[in-house]
Amino acid sequence: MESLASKPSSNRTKGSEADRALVQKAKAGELKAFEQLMNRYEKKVYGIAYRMTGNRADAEEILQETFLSVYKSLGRFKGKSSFSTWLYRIAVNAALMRLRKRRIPTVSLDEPLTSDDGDHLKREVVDWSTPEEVVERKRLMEVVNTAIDSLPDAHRAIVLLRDGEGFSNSEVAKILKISVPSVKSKLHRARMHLRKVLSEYFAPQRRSLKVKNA
Amino acid sequence: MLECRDLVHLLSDYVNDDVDPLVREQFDHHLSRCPRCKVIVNTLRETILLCGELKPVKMPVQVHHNLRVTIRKRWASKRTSFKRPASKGVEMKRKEGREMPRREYHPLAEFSRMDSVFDQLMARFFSDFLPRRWRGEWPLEMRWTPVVDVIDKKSHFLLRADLPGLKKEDVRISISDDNLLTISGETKQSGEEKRGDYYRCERCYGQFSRTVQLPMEVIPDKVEATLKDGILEIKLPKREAKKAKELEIEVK
Repeated sequence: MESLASKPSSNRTKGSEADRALVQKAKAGELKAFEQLMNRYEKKVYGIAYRMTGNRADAEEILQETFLSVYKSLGRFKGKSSFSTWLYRIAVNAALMRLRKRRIPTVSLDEPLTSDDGDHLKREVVDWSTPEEVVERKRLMEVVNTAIDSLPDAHRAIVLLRDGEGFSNSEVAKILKISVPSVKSKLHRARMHLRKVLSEYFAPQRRSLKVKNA
Repeated sequence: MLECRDLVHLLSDYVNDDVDPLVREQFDHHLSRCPRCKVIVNTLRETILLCGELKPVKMPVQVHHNLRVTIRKRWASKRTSFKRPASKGVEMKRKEGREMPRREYHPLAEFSRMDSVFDQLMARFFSDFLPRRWRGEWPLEMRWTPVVDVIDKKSHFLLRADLPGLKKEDVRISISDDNLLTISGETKQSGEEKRGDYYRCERCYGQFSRTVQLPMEVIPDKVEATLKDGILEIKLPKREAKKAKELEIEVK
């Protein structure tokens, strides 16, 4: 569990210093510095845009929008927050805007998830944290992916940033411009929902395993 | 003593090691004697790990190149550096305009904008205040609509329409099933006149069409139409029986 808590650590701070230097150079008009910033982040931005929208064409457009926007407002970037926080903020906003345009939300963002709450705890729980048989890794990651896709947009963004990219709660709060408690509660709901989906995936397998043994 | 119910809401924070040490202690204690919660904690932890292990999305090389092209283009069109700090209000907008070619500022552009606003106003004026037959694209050729009278003559309706300068070959009349009478055609203009410079251009040329709802059913076979001195007269005998199909009527 320590590894979980300390994930967004020294690497990121080292990176952010390098970012700062590159931003300064880019501000002074050095295209090379800007391109280095793109090299550092384009895959990440593309990745999160793709995971948010589930669509490669959208991901590419979001990527372009993001860096154009960074380019335009570079002069206004004061470096109060780290470059990556700022960049992700632009990217996630672009993705959310696109999603908002694309579909009319059918679920409220406040109570959207059927996660494990009090009731569930009384039911039988499946422990798949130490699986007896080796589940095919590829298949499992597919399940994780579809589970993340099934989250409401705002929750998906939080999970991707927090657990996918390793940002801290307060960084996620800055990126999404929401409060830390709001991040926490959404994150909690989203994680519990994912856990539930994964548990459902593991449950029938266990049952069939029992039949085999008997 | 913490119960399962109290713990649920703290699970995420507990797994992230983001709880008060006192709560943590109680949490640990509860987990040691509640296998169910233990399982939930373990699987939740695993869930989070799995999210962190998602394979990075593969980005096609083309996407990388496209982004470079877009940014280089923008960079090339930029003149000065970004250094100037942004100030508030109108000033900032102007400065930004100079530094970054977001939208080219052109002093004369305002006039052309005003022009287009004026055009729109004029267009609206024409469409709102002028009779329908005068509307349309200005120079010369335009759709126009002839004016009509419909008079009840007891046994029949008499429709009169002004079709100045038209020959009978240029006029088509039809009646549809639902008693819509349509007069259409085209006023022609010689090529020479088209090219000439006009001091006034008030007369209408081009295609015209006028549809009139007849007050009641007529007998299409017995409709007579005459065109004389630029006035079209259509005699429409009344009928209360069956509907008629659309029919062409010859102009005498």
